[in-house]
Amino acid sequence: MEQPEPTVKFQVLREQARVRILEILDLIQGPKFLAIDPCLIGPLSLIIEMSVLKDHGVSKVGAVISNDMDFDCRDVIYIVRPTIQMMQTLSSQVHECIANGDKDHRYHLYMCPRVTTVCEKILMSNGVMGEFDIIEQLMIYLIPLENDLLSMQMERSFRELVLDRDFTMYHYIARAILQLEHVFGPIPIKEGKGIASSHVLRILKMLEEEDPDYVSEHPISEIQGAILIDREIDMITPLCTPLTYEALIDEVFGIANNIIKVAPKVLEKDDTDKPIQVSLTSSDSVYQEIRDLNFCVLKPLLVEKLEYIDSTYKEKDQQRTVEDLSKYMKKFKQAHKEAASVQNHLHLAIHITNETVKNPFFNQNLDIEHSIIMGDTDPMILDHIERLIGMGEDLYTVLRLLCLISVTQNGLKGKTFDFFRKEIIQSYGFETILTLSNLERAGLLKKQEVKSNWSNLMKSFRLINEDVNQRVPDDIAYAYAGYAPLSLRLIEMLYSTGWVNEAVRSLPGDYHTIRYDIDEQNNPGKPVVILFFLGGITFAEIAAVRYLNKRPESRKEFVIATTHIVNSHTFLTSVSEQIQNEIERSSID
Amino acid sequence: MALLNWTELGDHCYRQVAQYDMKWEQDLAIEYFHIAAARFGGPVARIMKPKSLIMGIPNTNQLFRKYLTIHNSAGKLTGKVLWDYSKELVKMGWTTDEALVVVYKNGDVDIYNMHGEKIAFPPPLFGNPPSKGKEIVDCEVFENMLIVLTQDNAFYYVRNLPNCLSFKPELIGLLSIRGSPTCFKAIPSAHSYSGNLDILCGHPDGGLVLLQEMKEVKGFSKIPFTNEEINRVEEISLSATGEFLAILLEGGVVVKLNSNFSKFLGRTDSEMVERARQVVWCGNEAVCLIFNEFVGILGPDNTKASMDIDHIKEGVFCNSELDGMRVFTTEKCEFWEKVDPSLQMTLSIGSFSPPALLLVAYEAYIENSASSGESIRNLQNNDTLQEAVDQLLESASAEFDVDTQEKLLKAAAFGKTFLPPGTFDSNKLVNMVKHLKVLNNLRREYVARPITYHQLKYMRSNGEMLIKRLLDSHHHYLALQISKFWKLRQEHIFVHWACAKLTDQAFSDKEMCELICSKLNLCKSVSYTDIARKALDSGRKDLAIDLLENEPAISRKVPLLLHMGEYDMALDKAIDSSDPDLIYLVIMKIHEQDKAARDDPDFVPGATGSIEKVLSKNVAREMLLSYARQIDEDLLKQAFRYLKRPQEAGHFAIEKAYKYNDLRRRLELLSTARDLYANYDRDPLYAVAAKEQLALIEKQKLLIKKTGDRSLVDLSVCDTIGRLLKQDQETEAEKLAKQFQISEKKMWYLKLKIKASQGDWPGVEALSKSKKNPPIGFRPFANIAVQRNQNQYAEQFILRVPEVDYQLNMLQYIGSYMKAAEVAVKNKLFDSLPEIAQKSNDRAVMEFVDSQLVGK
Repeated sequence: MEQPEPTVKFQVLREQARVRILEILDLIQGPKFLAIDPCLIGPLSLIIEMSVLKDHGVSKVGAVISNDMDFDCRDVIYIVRPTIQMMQTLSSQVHECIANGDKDHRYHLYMCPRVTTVCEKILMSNGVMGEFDIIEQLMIYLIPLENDLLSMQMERSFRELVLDRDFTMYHYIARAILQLEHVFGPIPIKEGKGIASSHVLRILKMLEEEDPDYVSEHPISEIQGAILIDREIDMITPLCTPLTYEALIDEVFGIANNIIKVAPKVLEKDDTDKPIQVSLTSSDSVYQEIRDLNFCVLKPLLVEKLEYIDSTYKEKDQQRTVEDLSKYMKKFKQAHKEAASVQNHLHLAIHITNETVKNPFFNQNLDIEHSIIMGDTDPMILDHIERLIGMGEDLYTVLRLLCLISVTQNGLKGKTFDFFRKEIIQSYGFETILTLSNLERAGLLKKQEVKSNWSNLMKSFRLINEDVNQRVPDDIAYAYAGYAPLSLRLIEMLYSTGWVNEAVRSLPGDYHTIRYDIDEQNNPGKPVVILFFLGGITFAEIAAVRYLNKRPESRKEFVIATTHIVNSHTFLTSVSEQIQNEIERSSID
Repeated sequence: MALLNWTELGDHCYRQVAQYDMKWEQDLAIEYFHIAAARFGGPVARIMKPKSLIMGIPNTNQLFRKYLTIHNSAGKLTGKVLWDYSKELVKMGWTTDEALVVVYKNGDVDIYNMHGEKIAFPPPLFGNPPSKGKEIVDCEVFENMLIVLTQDNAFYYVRNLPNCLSFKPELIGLLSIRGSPTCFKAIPSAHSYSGNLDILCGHPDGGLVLLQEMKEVKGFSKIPFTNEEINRVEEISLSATGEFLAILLEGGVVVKLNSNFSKFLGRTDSEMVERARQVVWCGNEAVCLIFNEFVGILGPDNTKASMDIDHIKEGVFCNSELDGMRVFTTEKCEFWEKVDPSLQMTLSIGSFSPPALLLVAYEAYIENSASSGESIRNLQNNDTLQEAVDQLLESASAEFDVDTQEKLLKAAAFGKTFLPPGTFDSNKLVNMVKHLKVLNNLRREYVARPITYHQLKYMRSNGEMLIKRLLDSHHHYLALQISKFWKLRQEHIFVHWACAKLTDQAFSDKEMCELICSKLNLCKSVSYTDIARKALDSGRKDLAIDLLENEPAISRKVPLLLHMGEYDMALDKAIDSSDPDLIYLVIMKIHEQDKAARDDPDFVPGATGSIEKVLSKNVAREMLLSYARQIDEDLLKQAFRYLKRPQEAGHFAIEKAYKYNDLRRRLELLSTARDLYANYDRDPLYAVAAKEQLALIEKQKLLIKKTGDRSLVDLSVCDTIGRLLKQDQETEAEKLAKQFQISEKKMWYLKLKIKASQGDWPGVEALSKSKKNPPIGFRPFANIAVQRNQNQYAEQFILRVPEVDYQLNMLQYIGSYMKAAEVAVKNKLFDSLPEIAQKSNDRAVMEFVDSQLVGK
C-alpha cells in the first residue's frame, strides 16, 4: 500500500536533530567515545543509526550507568538529560578517571534538551566543571515516531506532572511547542484543558512574547490548531484494556521506540536463543494496514493475505508469455516482500490470542473491567479483586482494577479503601505503602469524599457505546470494545458543541486558550490540528485519532504529539516506587 | 611600465602604501620594544625590552618605561598596563578576537583587551612555582590558542582563549631531542599534514621535526620533493591564511612549501649573509625577509626584489595580513601589498588594456576632447567595454587614495552609460561605492582600522567580526551604520553603547536612565539587564534597578536581582516566569545564603527567613522539595519540619530504609518513619503499618533463630506465613496469623497456594473438603487447578462454582466439552450447545448435542 504524503513534514524535526548530532561529532577530530544517558539511548536511536555514528568517528557507544567506564579514546562526548542524578554519576566517572591517572581525556558535555543551572552548580560543587571542554545544549524536544506522531519520549513525564508538580516538565512541553512553531509556523489557535495544559499555555505565551523570531520568520502556518489534553483529566483510558492490534502488542510485549523484543519461539525461529527485534513502523506496509484494527478482525485478514501470497507463489508455473511473466514478477516481488511480514504478524497475533482473548483469566478481568466502567457497584467486583490478591496475582493487575474503580467512582468507600490497602501491604510487603501513597497523591487511588458523577460523565460524553461495530469501526469506541476514551470524546465535543458546558467544567483544571491572529490562508486540504497529550497517550487512542481522520465527515486532520506513550502497566509503574527489598544476610543476628 | 613607487617582481608589482604617521612617542626608536600586532589592522602592543632599559636610553616619557602600552594602527594610545619587570616575558600575541595574551617564563599568563583591561584570569599554567621542567621556553599565540613549549621539550596548548572554562594546558606532544628546537610554528588543522594541529620545529642539529597531535613525530632531514639536506632552520613563517610555509635556513636560503607538505613551491637563495630580523609572508605569494634598512621580497618562480624601508630611527616590525603585510617603523605605519592586477592594468604607464583606455576616454571627456568618443567606439567594437567597466570597479576597490578611487569610479560610471541597456547591474556600482565608503571611514585616522577591500569581505563573511572590533574600540556609530548597510542585527550595538556611556558620571542616574531608554526604544528586544549589570559593576545600583524595570525578559532579570542581593524580588520574578531553571537558580542561591547564615555563630532563627519564604510559595516549594529530595537531605528534613509534613518525612525515611541492605540501619530508619507517622493523624494507616512492620521484623528475627531460615526477614506477613506452612510449621503460622490479624480467608488462600505449589493435589482436595463451604468459595480452587493443568481436579472444582457462565467457559477451556454440554443442558442453555459441539470437534459431543437439540 502506498503511503500518502504527510501534510506536515514532521521528519524535518528528525533531520534537524540528526544534523545537530553530526555537528557535535564532527567538531572533534579522531575517534571518540559516546557516553549516553540510558534513557536517551532509545530516543537517539530513532534519530540516528549506529552505522552513521561509526562513520563519524564514534568508536564506542556506552550507557552512562556506573562509575567505572572504560574510555578508550581521548575524547569523550556525554549526551545526557539534565538531571541531578546524572550529574553525580558524571562527576564520579570523571573523578574516577583522574584518580586512575587517566588524565588526558577531553570531556564534552551535551545536555538534552537544555543546560540547567542546577546541573552546572552540581558539576561545580563536585569540582569537575573545569574538566569539561564544552557544556552545551542539545535541543531535541519532539521526535517523530511516525509521520503523524511526535513524542518527547520522556517516560517519567506523567509522574513529574502529577506527583512532583515540577515546572521543568511544563517548561519542556512549552518549549517543544515553540520549537514546532519555529519549524512549521505559528499555530493560530492553541487551547487546552487541565492543570498542566494551563501552565504550559501560560508559559508558552511568555516564551512567544520573549522570542524575537516568533512571528516574523514564518508567515505561513502549516499547523492551524493545537489542543492540549492532560492525562490527568482522563486517567480512565490508560487503565482500560485496549483491543487494537498495536495496543495489544504493547500490552503483551511492550513497544519501546518502535521496537519490540520477542522470544524466538514466538516467531517459530529456533536457530537462535537471543530475543528477536521486530521493528513496528509504517515502513512495513502490512503492519501499517493492520496496526489500528480491532484485534477480532486480525486473524482472518492475515490468513487471507497468507492465502493470497501462497496462490501467487503457485501461479509461478502457469505463466506462458514473456509479458505475463514480467507482470507476474512484479506481483511476486510484492507478495514476497509481504510474506515475511505476514508470517511474523501471524505468529505475534497467535501469541497474543493465547495470552489474551483465549485466556479465561484475561477475560475474567476484562469482564470485571467492563462492569467497573459501566458504573456497576456489584460486590462481586471487590470479591474478584480480593481473590486476585489472595492468589498472589501481579500487583499491577490488582492496582489497575482498584484504580479504575477509584477514578470512576471518585474514590473507594472508606472501609473498602482501608481494607484493600491493608490486604496489599500484608500480601505484597510493607514497602508497597509508598506506591499506595503515590497513587493517592496522583488521585488514582483514594478515599471517596465526594459522590461520583460518573453516570453523568458517561451520559454527557457518551463514554459507553455497546453497539459499536468493532469490525468496521463506526465510532472511536471500537478501540476499547465499547468504551470511548474520554480524552477523544472531549476533542470530538470541542468541534461539535464546544467546551463551554457543565460536563467539561466538572473535569479537573481550567480551560485556556491562546489566539494569534493570522491572515486567512488558502490551504488546500483540511486544516491540520495537533493534539498534544500531556502525560502520555495509549496506542488505542492513537488508533482512535487515526480513525477520526478517516471518517468521511472529518473536517480536520489530526496529528499527535505526546510526552510519551503509555499502557496500563507503564502508566502505573511510572507513579510507583520501585523498591529493591534486599537484606545483607550477615546483618541479621 | 610600472609607476615610480612600484617595485616589479616578475610580472607583478609590489607597492608600499603609507597609512599613518604614528601618534606614539617618536623620540624612542621601536628598536627598543617588544612588539605584537593583531591582524586586520588591529591594535599593536609594545613593551620596552629590559635590556634597553638598562642601556639608559634618553629619558623621555616615563610612560614607556613603566607600562605595557597598547595603540591602534595609527599609534594612538588605547590602553596601558603597569609592567612588572621582575617577571620574564616569553612572548605576547593577539588572538583572533583581539585579546592580548602575555606569557611569562614562570607560566603566568595575562590576558588583556585593547584598553589594557584584564579580561580573563588564568591560573599559572604549571603551578606556582612551575613544576620541574615546566618553565616556558617559547610560545605562540595562534588563532584562539596559546601554544607553549616547556623546558622539557613538551608542547602544550590552551584552547578557546580568552573565554575557555578552564585554562588547563593540554599536551600536544613531546619532542625527544637534545637541546631545544631552533624555532617552531603551529599549523592549523585545515591546512596541516595530519589533519589535526601540527607543530613544525627546527631541529637544533639541522632538519625539521613535525609534531602531530595524537600521532607520531615525523622527522625531515631533507626538503620534501628536492632531497636537499636541510641546514639549521632559523625561522619558519606561515602565511596569514595558513596555507603556505616559508622556511629560512642558515645561510639565507628560503624554502616555500604548502603547509601540508603536498607541494613544493620553490627555493630561493636570498644571498644575504646577515640574518633577517623577521620572515613574513606578504599576502599569499611573496615572502619578505626583513632587514634593518630594506626588505627582500621573494616571489614565485625564484623572482626577487628589494624594497627600502623609509625610516629615521632604528627598528621595524612587520605583521602578515591576508593580502599583504603591515610595516611599522618608529614614524609610520605602512601597508605593503601586491598591486592588484586590475589596478596594474589600469594605472601602468602606457597601458592599452581596456580599463586604461576607458580611463583615458573619461579624462578626454572631462576635457571636452573629441578623442573620447573615438576611444569608446573602439572599446565597443572590440567588445571590451563591459570588461573595462568591471576592471575599473575592481581597481577602485584596490585603491587607497580617495581621489584616485573617485576618478576610477567615475570613469566606470561613464563607461557604463555606453553599454547596451540591461547588460550591467547598476547595483554593482552602488555597492562598490558603499563599500568604499565603509573602507574609507575605517581607514580614517580617528578609527585607524586600515583594512583592504579583500579583508573587509573576509571579515564580513565571518559573522560580525568587524562590528565586534568596532564596538571593542567604541566606534558605535560606525558599527551601527555598517550594520544597517549589511542588514545585521543592531540591538547589541545599542547595548554596548549604553554600557560604555554609563561610566560617564556627568549624568545623574535619572538622566542616564532616560538617555539610555530614549535611544534603546528604537529597537526591539534589547537586553536591559546587560546594561543594568554594567551599571551595577560601575557602582550605580539605583540606576541598575531603574534600568531593570525596562527589561521585558524575566530570564535576564533574575540573575542580576540575585547578584544585587534582592532575593525576594528575584524569587517573585522567577516564579512569574515559570522557568524552572530560574526558580532553581534563586532557590539555590537563597539556600546557600541561608546555610551560611545558619553556620554563623550569631545566627538568630528566623532572622533570614529566606528558605521559609521559598516554602511559602506553592511552585517554589514543590521544586525545592524535589531538589532537596535528590541531593540535600538536611534541607529536605528542614523543609518537612517547617511545612509540618510528617507523612512525607516518613515516606522519605522508608525510601531510605530500603536503600540499606543492612538490617540494623533499616530498622533504625523504619522506627524513625514510625515516629514521624505517629504525628500524622489524618490517615492512621501509616503509623499502624509501620508499627506492625517493626513488630514483624522482630518476630521474623525470632523465627530465624528457631528455624535457621534467614530468607524470612522482611518478607511480607503473608509470605512469612507461606514459608512457615511450607516448612510444616503450622502452629507458628497460626500464631503469626493471629498476631497480625490475618483473616481466615487469607489463611485459606495461603494454604491453597502452598499446597498447589508443592503439587499436593490430594491435599488441595482435602482442603476444599475441610469445610462444607470454604470461605473463599471454589473458584480459587478451580482457577489454580486450571492454571496448573490439573484438569481432573479442575473439572471437579469448576462444577462446584455456582456461576453457570463460569462453569461453561472454564470447562470448555480445559477441553471438557461433554461436561460443558451437560451443564448447558442442565441449565437449559440450549443456545450455547452448537458452539460447544463445534469447538469440541468430538463426535460423541456432537451426537449428544444433536440428540438434545432434536425437537427444539
